[in-house]
Amino acid sequence: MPAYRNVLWWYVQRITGALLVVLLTLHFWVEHFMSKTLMRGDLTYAVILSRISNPVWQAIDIGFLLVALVHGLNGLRNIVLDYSRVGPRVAQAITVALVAVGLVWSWWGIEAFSKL
Amino acid sequence: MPHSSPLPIDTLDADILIIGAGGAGLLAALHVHETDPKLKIVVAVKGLLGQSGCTRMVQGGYNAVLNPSDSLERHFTDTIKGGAYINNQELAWMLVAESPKRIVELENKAGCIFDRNPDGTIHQKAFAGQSFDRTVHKGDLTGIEIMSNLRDYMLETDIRILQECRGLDLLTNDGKVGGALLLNIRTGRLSTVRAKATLLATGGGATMYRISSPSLEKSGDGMAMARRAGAGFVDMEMLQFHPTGLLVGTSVATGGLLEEGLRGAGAHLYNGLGERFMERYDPKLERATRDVVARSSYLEIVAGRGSPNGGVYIDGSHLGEEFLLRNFPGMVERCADYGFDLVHDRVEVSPSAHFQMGGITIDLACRSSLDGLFAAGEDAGGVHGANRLGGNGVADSIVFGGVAGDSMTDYVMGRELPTISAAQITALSQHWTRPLAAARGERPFGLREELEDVMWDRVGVVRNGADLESALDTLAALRERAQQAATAGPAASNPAWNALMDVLNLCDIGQMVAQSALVRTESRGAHYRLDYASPDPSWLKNIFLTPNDDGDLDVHFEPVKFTRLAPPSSI
Amino acid sequence: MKPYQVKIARSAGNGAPTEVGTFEVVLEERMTVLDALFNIQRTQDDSLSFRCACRVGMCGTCAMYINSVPRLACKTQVSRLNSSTVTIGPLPNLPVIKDLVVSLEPFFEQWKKIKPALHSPTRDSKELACIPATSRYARETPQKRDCITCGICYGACGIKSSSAEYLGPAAINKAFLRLMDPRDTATEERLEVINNERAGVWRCHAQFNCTAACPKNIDLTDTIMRLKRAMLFPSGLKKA
Ligand SMILES: Cc1cc2nc3c(=O)[nH]c(=O)nc-3n(C[C@H](O)[C@H](O)[C@H](O)COP(=O)(O)OP(=O)(O)OC[C@H]3O[C@@H](n4cnc5c(N)ncnc54)[C@H](O)[C@@H]3O)c2cc1C
Ligand code: SF4
Ligand code: FES
Repeated sequence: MPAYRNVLWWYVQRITGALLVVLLTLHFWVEHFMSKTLMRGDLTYAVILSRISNPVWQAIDIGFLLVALVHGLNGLRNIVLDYSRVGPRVAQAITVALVAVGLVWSWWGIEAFSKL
Repeated sequence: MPHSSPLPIDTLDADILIIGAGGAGLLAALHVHETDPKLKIVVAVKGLLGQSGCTRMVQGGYNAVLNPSDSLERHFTDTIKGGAYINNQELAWMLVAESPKRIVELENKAGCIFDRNPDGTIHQKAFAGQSFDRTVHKGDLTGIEIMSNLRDYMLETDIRILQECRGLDLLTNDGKVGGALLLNIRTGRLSTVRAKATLLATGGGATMYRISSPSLEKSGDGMAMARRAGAGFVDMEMLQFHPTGLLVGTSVATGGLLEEGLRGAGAHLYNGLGERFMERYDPKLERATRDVVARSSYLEIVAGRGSPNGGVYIDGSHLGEEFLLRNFPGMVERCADYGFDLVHDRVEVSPSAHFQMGGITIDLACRSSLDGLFAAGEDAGGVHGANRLGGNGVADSIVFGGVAGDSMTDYVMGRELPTISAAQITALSQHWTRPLAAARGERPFGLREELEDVMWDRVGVVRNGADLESALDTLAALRERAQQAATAGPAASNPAWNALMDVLNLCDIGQMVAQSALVRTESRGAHYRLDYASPDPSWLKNIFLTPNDDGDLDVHFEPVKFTRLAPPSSI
Repeated sequence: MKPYQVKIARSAGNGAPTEVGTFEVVLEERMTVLDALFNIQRTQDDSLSFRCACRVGMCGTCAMYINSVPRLACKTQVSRLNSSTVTIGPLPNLPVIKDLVVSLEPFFEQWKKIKPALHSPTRDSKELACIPATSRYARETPQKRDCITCGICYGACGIKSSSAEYLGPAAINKAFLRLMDPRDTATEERLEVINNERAGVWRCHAQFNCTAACPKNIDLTDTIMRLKRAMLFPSGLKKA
């Protein structure tokens, strides 16, 4: 329903916002407190590799990346729309650019896992 | 059109020119537009569209017979009794008969919604002086609902609205009115609007009194313009004082109203000695009619039994906090804005000049005595007789605004635009712009204060012959001084210049009020004379004033025509 | 009686203010900012321009920027500002005509976009609509209908200060009232306007400035949030 595209994006922004709270907390916990090796101070690449080869962790990380990108870039676009001085044409161009940035970064992040 | 004017003059042609945009002006515009959307309508308003005038300030509500147990006859009888039997009965009948239809128009066409009963019908509340609960309302801010919706209606039409544009004078040719000279207050530009029909709907001039309730920009401009153009007037002595205007020292808030419903609900009035003084004046105590309560308070005050600031006290505290907050939230808030506590305390109030029953003489089609000139709402006289019922004021402007709209639509049909006189335009524009170039002279603000004092002290709630005569002299002298006053400066946004124009207009109508009051040697309704303290049946007459060529007023009376209801022999 | 220093933004001819005029006034205890302005106009500088009509909070024409908050001059008692200096400027986010007088044209241009008039197939009916006092409209709108179009919310809105296109809180509130109006049928047209990406409700970031400033205590943020939610199921607006 094209007429209500805006309301969908509005909800997406709320939902991704809420998800970010969970994912960020999880992220901090995982990166800084969860691993015993990390707490002992002898974290190795192998330890991390073993975690991120796990498909569940991969799904979580990719989800986190996408949620953050959608929320951040859509937020940027919203800020742009708050300014009349940015005309509709420029806003359109910025939107295209933000989408491109989003696609490239998503690809970049997801692709990294294939190199493991 | 060669003429030399100190200011640039724009010209505009219209089928219909409406001066003033309160309930009367906007209903007229609505009716014309609904009947024939092709007619070119220009509305000039001194303030902002929908945000000026007294219709906006209506709190209590609008009288209309909607309930099957009520009847037009009862509303009519209440209106005539309230008016002490000198109303024009045909106009009063038109008021009550059209009023219910206009409620339907206000809702279905203009988009208002008034308060409802649980079953979905309109809720009607009680108002003083009425034999049935017939006052339609939206909370205690009815005027905002009416005016905001009428404004919104106008915004979606192509009706030309000239905001902050004041009518200065009517354009006349051979006794026929053909439009008006206007001033855009913000740009300082003059303009002439040439029109086939012109409506005056600027509201009255109760603001000529020291303590008054109307919106500040009103200054009886319509009546003053009509007088200068030579139109006839009726019962100009009849000016209503509302009993409970706030007293806030010398603040402009003084005169702002505490609504009548408070007394109706049982609030008490006390004088400075703490006595419930209404006991001395009327068995109905505080629930007596407006004129009686206002007069009684005034007599207490002048007898030296007033409150420290020259008023009396209203006390609603015994009604209880919950009751007051539920029924009068707006009044409680208004008091609180000025640091008064209506819930727990007595609040100082005074009679406040409120509404002119008198005005331009009209017939049943809102035609004035001048061809091409129409009047409706507070500018017109005769509907309310000697006293107006609460709730009949806004009904008047909405009903007669519509009547004027219909009759102007008929009137302009097949007519050509009138010719207007370039010489008159030049003379008028020179006259009005003179103070801008006057190097020396009095400022207008002091003149306004003197005017308000004369009117309050000598043409006020309680009058007598000697005071009225001296007031007439003072008013003439004031007018003379105002003619010489100076407000040098730019034409655009010049508050002093506008204040001076207001003074000149108020002098013109103040004089009519005083003169007519001097003629009526009896007391009736709102008009009370100490030297003729009771009603006199031989005065069941209307007083007509007609301006003559010297600028003076010819007076004549006519017995009231009791076409529908004869007075009881005791009145 | 108390002395105050009043600093007022002044225009040199017409147009935006270019300087600040400083005046000393002595005011009675209960006097308002509007009284201070009249006092100055009548006794010190009769070119001082400001707007007012009703002087009791009903017309909505005396909105201005008083000690950094947009308020109605006639409803602001000077003594309650708790400051011996009163600084007054024109309402923000609107073009200034002179001194404290702003043009409300941009405000009403937005207002017109949402079609403020009633659009109803029963406009020629001789019967009044049946709207029970218990209906959603009668219960949920009375306070929101008290808007006096003072423009204060428009002047207080953070988004309005950067966006000319944004409808502003009051116009959205009016749209909401017509959308809720059981007689009105112009639902699609209005939704299209308030759904607009650059002008509609999506621009509101719930800063609550409008709600905090509204002299009629209208919960504008609530109105806007309701509309955002309603956009998924617009038919829910008129449900009794
Ligand atoms: C505080 C208050 C409360 C009231 N409460 C009630 C009530 O509860 N019930 C009731 O029935 N009545 C009430 N009344 C009376 C009622 O408001 C009036 O009778 C009625 O509204 C008058 O309508 P009008 O259209 O004639 O004039 P107004 O509504 O006063 O409109 C006059 C218009 O003309 C404009 N104008 C003035 N001069 C010029 C000019 N020179 N050129 C162009 N435009 C001009 C003004 O700006 C304004 O727009 C109340 C009055 C007041 C003051
Ligand atoms: S919503 Fe409130 S602040 Fe905004 S215009 Fe209406 S009354 Fe003023
Ligand atoms: S003057 Fe009317 S709201 Fe302040």
